[in-house]
Amino acid sequence: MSTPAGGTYNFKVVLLGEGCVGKTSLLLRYIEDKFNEKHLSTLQATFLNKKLNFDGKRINLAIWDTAGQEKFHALGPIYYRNSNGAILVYDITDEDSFVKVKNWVKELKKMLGSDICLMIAGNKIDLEHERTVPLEEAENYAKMVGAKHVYSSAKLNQGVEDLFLELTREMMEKYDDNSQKDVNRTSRVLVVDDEATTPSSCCSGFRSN
Amino acid sequence: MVLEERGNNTTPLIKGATLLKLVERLTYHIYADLNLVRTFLTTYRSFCTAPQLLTLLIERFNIPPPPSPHHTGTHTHTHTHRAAAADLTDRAVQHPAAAQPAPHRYTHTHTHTAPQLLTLLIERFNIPPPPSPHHTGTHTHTHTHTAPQLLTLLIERFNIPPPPSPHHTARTTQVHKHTHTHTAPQLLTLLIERFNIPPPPSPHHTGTRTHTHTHTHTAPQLLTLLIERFNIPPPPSPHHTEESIENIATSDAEKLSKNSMREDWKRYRKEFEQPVKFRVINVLRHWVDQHWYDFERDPELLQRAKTFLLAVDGKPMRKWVLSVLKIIDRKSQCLDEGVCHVFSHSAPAVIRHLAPPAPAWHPLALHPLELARQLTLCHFSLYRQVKPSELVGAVWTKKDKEKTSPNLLKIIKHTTNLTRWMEKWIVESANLEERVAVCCRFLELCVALRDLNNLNAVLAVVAAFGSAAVHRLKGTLQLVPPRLHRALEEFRELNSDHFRRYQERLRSINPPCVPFFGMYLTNILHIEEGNADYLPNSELINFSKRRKVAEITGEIQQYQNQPYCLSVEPATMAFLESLDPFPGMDDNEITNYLYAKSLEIEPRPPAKQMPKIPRMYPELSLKQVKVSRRAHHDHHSTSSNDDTLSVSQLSPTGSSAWDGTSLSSLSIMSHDDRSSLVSPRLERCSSSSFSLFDKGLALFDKTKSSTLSSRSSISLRDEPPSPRERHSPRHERNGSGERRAALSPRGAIVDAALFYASAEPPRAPSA
Repeated sequence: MSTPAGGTYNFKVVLLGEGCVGKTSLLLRYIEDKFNEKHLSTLQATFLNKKLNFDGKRINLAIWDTAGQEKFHALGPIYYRNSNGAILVYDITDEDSFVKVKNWVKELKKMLGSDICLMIAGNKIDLEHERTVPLEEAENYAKMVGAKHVYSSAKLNQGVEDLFLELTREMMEKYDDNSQKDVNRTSRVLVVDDEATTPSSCCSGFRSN
Repeated sequence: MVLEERGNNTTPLIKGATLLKLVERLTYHIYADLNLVRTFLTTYRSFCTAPQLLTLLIERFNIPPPPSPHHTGTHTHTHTHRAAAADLTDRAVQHPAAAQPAPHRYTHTHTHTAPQLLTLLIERFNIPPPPSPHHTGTHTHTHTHTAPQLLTLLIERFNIPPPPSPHHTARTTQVHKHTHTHTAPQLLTLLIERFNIPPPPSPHHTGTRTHTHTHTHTAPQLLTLLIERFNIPPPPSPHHTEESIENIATSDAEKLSKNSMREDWKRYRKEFEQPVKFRVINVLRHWVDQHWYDFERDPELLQRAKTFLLAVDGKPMRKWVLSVLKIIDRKSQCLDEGVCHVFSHSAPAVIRHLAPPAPAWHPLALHPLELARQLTLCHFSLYRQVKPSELVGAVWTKKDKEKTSPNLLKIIKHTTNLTRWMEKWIVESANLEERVAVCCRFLELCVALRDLNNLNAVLAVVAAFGSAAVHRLKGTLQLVPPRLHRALEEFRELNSDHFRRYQERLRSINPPCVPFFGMYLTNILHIEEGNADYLPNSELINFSKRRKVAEITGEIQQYQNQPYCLSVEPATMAFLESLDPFPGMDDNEITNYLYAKSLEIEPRPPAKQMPKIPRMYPELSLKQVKVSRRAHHDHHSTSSNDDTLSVSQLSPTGSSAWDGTSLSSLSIMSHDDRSSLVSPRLERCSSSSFSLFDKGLALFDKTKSSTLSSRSSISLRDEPPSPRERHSPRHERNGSGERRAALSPRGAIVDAALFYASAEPPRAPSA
């Protein structure tokens, strides 16, 4: 979905995770850096846009928040389709939410292969004393699946900016990589083994864009 | 209270206010704001409880009256008041923001004399507690008002326009303008002062009051406040007042003052007390009518409301109270009132499935159009069950969601199950041809769902085809005809670009429809999460936020009102209602299973060969069954066509002659069943028969039939004639030929549009 025309990169980023882990809070914090009511007065769709400059390039992030829809277990595909990056959020005080992240990673890898940049965010570090997801486990897991791991707190505004910046940097690298290989290819779908990491190209035939 | 900036002629919108002020506005004496009532009753649960609200309403009903004649009945008292008023005026001068509007209003609009003005002022600030017979401490109370208190009261009062007279409407707006022309700091001062006003003291409720003041609204308190608001004591009798005046009046000015006071009391009663009481009852009526579940869940609350209503007297009020009690009776007797919708036409007849569906309910046995209809009925009934209270405060994301949002969870679960059901059938159809046929059938189903405006189910289908297990089945999807590919792509586009297409579609369709719930949920959550509950640095409830949430729930409700004109087919409905493709399995297990199956039926590319697996259901036909495209837009609008519209697809052979298996190999092509998708709003579809004709042709040009044809021309086609032919309802409508359909000669299921009731009475479908 990234279009280099006019020098602007357009990336679609999807926020995934269990309910109540703080996806929306992270997003609101990032977009507005505060919880005021202004930015929502025109809210019409389930998305928010963020324009930023990075490395002298203009970038437009279309961030999709699936907040409130977690119970639609099977609906994921309509959101993460064609996304360049995914932020998988869990609550460090809630182990189940970390298990859910693992499931999402698996599904995204199956669907989008290595074309998608993954960030795993351990949110709510302001509740460090209630932590139940071990720091080591989370970081090792992220390393294993080739994702970056970040700690964040929307409440304290910690790690939020980094989270999005890091993801943006990765997406740009990936984009430039891909365009070197094949300028016209915008989205390549790979299927990888559940655990192994040998990607093999498959089924891109039915995507129109 | 803070009002939002609006145009001059519109009802002011509340931006933020205390609970007390909200209730006051809810039952405002100047105007009734139905939108506010709706919004408030929909969203109040985020900031107070039902019992609290009832208390507040009742308190509001019992609002204290203007001073009674006893009270002002002595010289000394009057003088005290005048002194106080004078003092007040002095202070007011020092406080321009507060005082200016008041004199301005009275002098300029009414040209009151000075004494009159004073009296008015006295009346205005001197709101005593209800002069109940047993309450003798009234004057004491009034006189213990300190000057600042009086000032505050005056400020409060000045926002409430004086009792309106015919030429008052203009003034009302003027008052609001006043509020708006204040500078920000002035306004703030005013507001802060106003919010610190203690509620009118009432002897009965002093205990609970304290709670309100500290903004920890408790249940009994709210009810008390409501009752108080209602219980405005009757104004003094004129006779009594006259007497007092006789005794007291020593000068003409005094007399004049007294007379005008009496007039004011009359006006007060007519223009303030009555409307307030009236509106309290009206809010209650709305409450029990629209939000009955509050009372259902809390019998005590219901009892209190009833007790209050039964205690109300006064002839004009009684009538309204009775109507509220009637609603309560009705609601408590029959929980599910069967609203009967009358359509301008009858529902299309149920289409028979292609093969006996039970017990497997194989998708290939089901007619996609009928499945779509039943699915739509099912989803619509789930959709309309969802109450605003399940959404307000984003309660469906909270811990006790099962209790607070049961109906919302039901529709979500059903949508998920539907997606899983489709994925399951696709990956469990090991035979390639069968699998392709199943995929086609689901896409055809999706087309029918789109035409029925069941957007919730359309997205469920899209999700199924986008799932990891199905999406990778390249070999299968390749064999799906381009027509269905394009359809899938169109559906996929619905939610691209942030649901832009979906929004457009939702706006453009004619209800009935089943909107997709997910988008509403995220929007509500964003509003709930992204906005503060209280206005910054105050205790004012951020009512704009509540209004925004109410706007969304309002839209949801709007689509709940327009029902579908379709008939239930009990067996299919029972199947759909109990749809649970993976009982007892959790989400992760399901996706793992589906993906494993997917790999089994179509191994990864190194294994070039697609496994050859024999058909599992050889008795089922793999042929496609087309449903109509754009059916909704193709309705006839004229009444002469209504009879056709009311008839739907029938079995050509009649139920007795039908045996499921014999049809399995038949090609079933059903076209142009525009009538089978009938919107209750036929009158809105006004496409001319000519354009219909064109569309009809366009639809058929790919099929064997080409032009207007009659029955005879059909039988001339190249298929071998079938004994069923003569039963097939392939009649020409009015000989116009516009409703041509391409049917295979032995088409088991044909379009009702082609058939008239007059030619052959519709037969009851066999389940």
